[in-house]
Amino acid sequence: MKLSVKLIQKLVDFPLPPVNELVDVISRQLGEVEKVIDLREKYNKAVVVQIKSYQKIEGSDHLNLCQIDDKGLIKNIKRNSAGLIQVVCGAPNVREDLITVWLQPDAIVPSTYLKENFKLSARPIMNHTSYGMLASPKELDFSEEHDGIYEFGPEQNYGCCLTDIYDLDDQIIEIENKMFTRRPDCFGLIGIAREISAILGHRFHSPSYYTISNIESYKNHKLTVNNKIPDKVLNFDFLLIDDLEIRPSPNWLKFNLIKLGLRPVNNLVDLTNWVMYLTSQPIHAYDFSLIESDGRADFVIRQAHDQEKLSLINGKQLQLSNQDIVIASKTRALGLAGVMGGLESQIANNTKASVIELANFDYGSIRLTAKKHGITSEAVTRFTKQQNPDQILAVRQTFIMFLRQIIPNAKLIDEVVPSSPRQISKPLIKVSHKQIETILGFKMEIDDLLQILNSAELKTNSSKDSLEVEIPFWRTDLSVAEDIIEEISRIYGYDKLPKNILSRTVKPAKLNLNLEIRQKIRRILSSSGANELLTYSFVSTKLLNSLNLDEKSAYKINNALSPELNFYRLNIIGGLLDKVYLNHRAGYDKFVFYEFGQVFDKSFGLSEKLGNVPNFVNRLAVVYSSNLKDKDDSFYQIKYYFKYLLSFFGLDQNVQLKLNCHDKYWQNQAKSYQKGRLAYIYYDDECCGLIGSINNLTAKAFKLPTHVAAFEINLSLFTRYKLITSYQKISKYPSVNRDLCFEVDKNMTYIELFSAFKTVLEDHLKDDYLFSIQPLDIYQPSKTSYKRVTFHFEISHKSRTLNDQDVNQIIDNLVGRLLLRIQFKLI
Amino acid sequence: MENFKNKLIQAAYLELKQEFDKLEDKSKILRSHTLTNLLKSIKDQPVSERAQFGKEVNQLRNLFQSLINQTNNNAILNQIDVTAPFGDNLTSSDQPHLLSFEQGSIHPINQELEEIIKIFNLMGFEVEENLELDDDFHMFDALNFPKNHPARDDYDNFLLEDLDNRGHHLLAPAHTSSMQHRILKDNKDVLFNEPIAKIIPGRVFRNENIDARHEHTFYQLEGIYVGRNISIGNLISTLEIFLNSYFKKELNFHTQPSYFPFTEPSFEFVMSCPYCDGVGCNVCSLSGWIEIIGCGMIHPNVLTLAGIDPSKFNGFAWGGGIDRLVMMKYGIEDVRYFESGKLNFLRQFK
Repeated sequence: MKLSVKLIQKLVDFPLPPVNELVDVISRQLGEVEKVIDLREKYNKAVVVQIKSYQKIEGSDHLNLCQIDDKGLIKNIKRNSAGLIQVVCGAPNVREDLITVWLQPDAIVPSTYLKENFKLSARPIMNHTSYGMLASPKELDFSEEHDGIYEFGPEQNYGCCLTDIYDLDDQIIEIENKMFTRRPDCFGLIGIAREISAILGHRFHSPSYYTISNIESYKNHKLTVNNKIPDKVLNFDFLLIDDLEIRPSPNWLKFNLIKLGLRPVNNLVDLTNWVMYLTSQPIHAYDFSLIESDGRADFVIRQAHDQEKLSLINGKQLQLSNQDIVIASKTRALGLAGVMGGLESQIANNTKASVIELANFDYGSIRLTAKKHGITSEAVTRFTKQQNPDQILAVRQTFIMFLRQIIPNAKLIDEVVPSSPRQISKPLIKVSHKQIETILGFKMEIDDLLQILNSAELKTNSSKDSLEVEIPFWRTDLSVAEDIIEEISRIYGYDKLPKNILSRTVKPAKLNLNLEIRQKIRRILSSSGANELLTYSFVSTKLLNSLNLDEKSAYKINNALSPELNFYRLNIIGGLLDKVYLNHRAGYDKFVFYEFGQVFDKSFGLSEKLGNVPNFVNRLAVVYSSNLKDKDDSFYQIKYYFKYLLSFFGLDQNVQLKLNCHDKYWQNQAKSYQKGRLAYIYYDDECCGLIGSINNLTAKAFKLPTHVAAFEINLSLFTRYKLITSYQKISKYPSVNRDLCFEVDKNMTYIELFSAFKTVLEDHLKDDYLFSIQPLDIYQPSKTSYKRVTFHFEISHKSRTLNDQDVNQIIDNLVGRLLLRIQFKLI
Repeated sequence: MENFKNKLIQAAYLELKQEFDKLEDKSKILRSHTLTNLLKSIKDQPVSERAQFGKEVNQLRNLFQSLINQTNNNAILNQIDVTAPFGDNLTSSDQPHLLSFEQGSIHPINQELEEIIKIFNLMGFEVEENLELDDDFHMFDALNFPKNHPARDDYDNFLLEDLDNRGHHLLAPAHTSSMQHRILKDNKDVLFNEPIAKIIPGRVFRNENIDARHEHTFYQLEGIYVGRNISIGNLISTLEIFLNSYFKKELNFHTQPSYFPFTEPSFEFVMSCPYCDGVGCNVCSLSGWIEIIGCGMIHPNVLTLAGIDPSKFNGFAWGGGIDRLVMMKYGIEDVRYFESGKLNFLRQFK
């Protein structure tokens, strides 16, 4: 929303502070100021001049050498003997005595101001030096017209700066529209002026023409309006005006619109825009002659028919649907209600009579229609903020007042208003003093409260316990007590309220377990050389295919930014694998990635606890990748990280790796891992993850090197952590070390051997001895049926020193017992 | 067993077959010397036999290609003992090990979140986690967004194909405020004994084209506090205490009015730039001020919808972006680096 400081000054009855102070107050108490444009700078070097003579330049088909008169205003510029300045101009409307705008040789072309900042200079054109230029309306940023130079009427004074006339020495403050999402009145200058008055502590008085009293009636039975959707069109006024004379607006109006960024069209259209900009109520004008038959016009307000066609003023052709509201004649749609008028019935230079539509439309319908057809307009901006239907009478009065001023000969000859008598509702909101005090954090004097509310034209009745506030017809945003308290605190100034610090008990905040777990894992993995990544929650069909996952179980995004971001991810490793190649290519040979994230899969169903939205699982994924040409040990590498991580949570003994799994979900996930090199991660009977090397097809799809392995697990696994991990007492007596090499069948798994050995050790030794076993080496000669597994065995006695003989005996004993369980040979 | 008429090819086939069985990466067979030599020798064959020879070499190649595909698709190859701690025949230096701690890193966004969460924990706020997939009700209705209200246009949601049980498209939430209703509802009974003091960090999404300053995926931290007789000053002082503690200095603050349907009044919280102490620098675009948090007093409709009586209880809520905090702190020039997965970026954050 743009406002002109000069126009606001005219609406308030106290002198405004300097602009920088005004901007500060607006920012802090009304809405964020996007920018301030100083027109004095924008039109700094623009001068109103008269063309005294011109002559065709030889050899050019359109250029003229003009001599212009600035009445000697500008110093230090080359003049001819008559004191005129020479400018080359190619515009077809160059003529003697024309009063126009000249941009000095060092001017910045206003249409490029704060954009490209295109600066002029005195430069030769076809051997004639042009001192500056004569500017078109487009170059002056007045309108889109670029057919010729700007023309003032012959009555215009010249020899002055452009900013000396029509209040162009103004500053334009632009406030973010978002601030006024719920403030329909602030899309009008009157509303903004009212707010500025209030926050500066002055009582505002709406202009006398903005009133709902003294409504004159004009009945002539030339118009009818059939409102078929009174639930969507709550109020309207249609006025018929005759004896119009369409011509350019008077300059004051033209330049007011230009300052506010609107393009002048003609006096009637400009009038509707001007009243809109004052009151925030959009107004539309129809050419009566193009819709009447037998001197009558019958309007229908209705929903559009499906596939009904309509051409808009901006030239766009629409195909409507029954969600759109149209203003129609008996036979066809004339305009898209609240959005934009139709091309066919727009005001033309020869329009003699016009129907003026003031109406209120359901903001939701306008929003849907505008979104569907991709139309933005001043009307849409305003109607979607929920204009009050009760303001139409005041807008009508404003319109008639300016009509008489701008087109004095026009006559109002007919009107149509809703058949049921209109009553202005004056809702009351009651607010208790107690609540005001609570939210403000202090007891404000009643007089101060009333002063604040009254300054914004909110009428109040105060009683002992509460205030009653009457809501004026221009506001639709005030409905509950808190809305009134907002007005009080904002106008008073949030920053002036006492800063009361909350008090609390000594009870500590409960820590979030998932968060604690993630923080701990981050410390462990990152201090083990791993890198935490964040990858998108959205993935492509290609990525899901690369993981051999079915996209049917993934949630699909309808309006994805690109096909790369079509689906919610079905696991975390996919995103990590996708980042492997680019990092190898960047020169990193070996790395470990990890990421925490939420995984959504349709098979998880809905969560009742979360309010029947799709269920999700919190995950951790870790990926190991190496492009070095050594032996592929990726599986054992990732397993090492896995075991290492678990050991910090005391879980390494409770978590098992299994070759098979009955859980459909994890079976599916296994499709990107290599058969024979993957294992399911179990805690008790629950499969909670997967670990393995990535298979060739997936590797190929992600351009991975051959040595890539990963694990992905449910984060909930870690919630089963043990507060105290196992501790083994330390012996006071020296220990004896032995490396024991077992030769077993090559098909015996390591864990079979290890578990059997450990069980025997624990059964046999636990009471009197302390011991540990560590795997040292696994050796499998090729083309043999056995393998050799070597353990480092360390043993000590709890109450005496062991000698070699003792240990030999213990080992013999253990071997005997172990042979009862498994087949092996001790080497 | 395949048979090739040409003896040379037949011999090569047997050789390749043996080599193939031994290979770990089966696709390497296509680069075997035996095969490449055979291919090279095509041109040396007598013209009359060349075509036939070439055809058979090609058959041989295709045969191994299909064998590779088969192994990739179903054969269990090189079954390893997954229960073992390491592979066969490795010297101890080849056994698995952790990478050097020097190359480890923690994502800067998470580092910052941990820091922020720690401060709020100390202030008595508990953490709830957000949801990355939600419904229209929690995103809008529960937060007092009227149906078809233009306020909804400020949030460009990604909409899912699937509908919720009220017939609306599921969506990728565009703010962490989507969790407010759940938290208020879950804790409405607790309120009679103690205030609700929660923060919600989380990943949120907006459907906007990305560039150095815009990401469709970003992080926010939401806070809510509900109790008895809560004032605007309580909100302002809470945020001031947090920001002073986070930036480890005394900053200046002011507010700017704003509009959120779920708070009344609503405003933006603005702090003096901590990097130039308000003098003006690149971080604050020379203004000396930084808008950092959107906040306000929770709208009574939001409380009522969650089953909390607004005449007994009231409170405040706020939300702010995390990505921008991190970018300002380190002078990161491009928001897209956060989800880029690039090690040259990530490894700078220890």
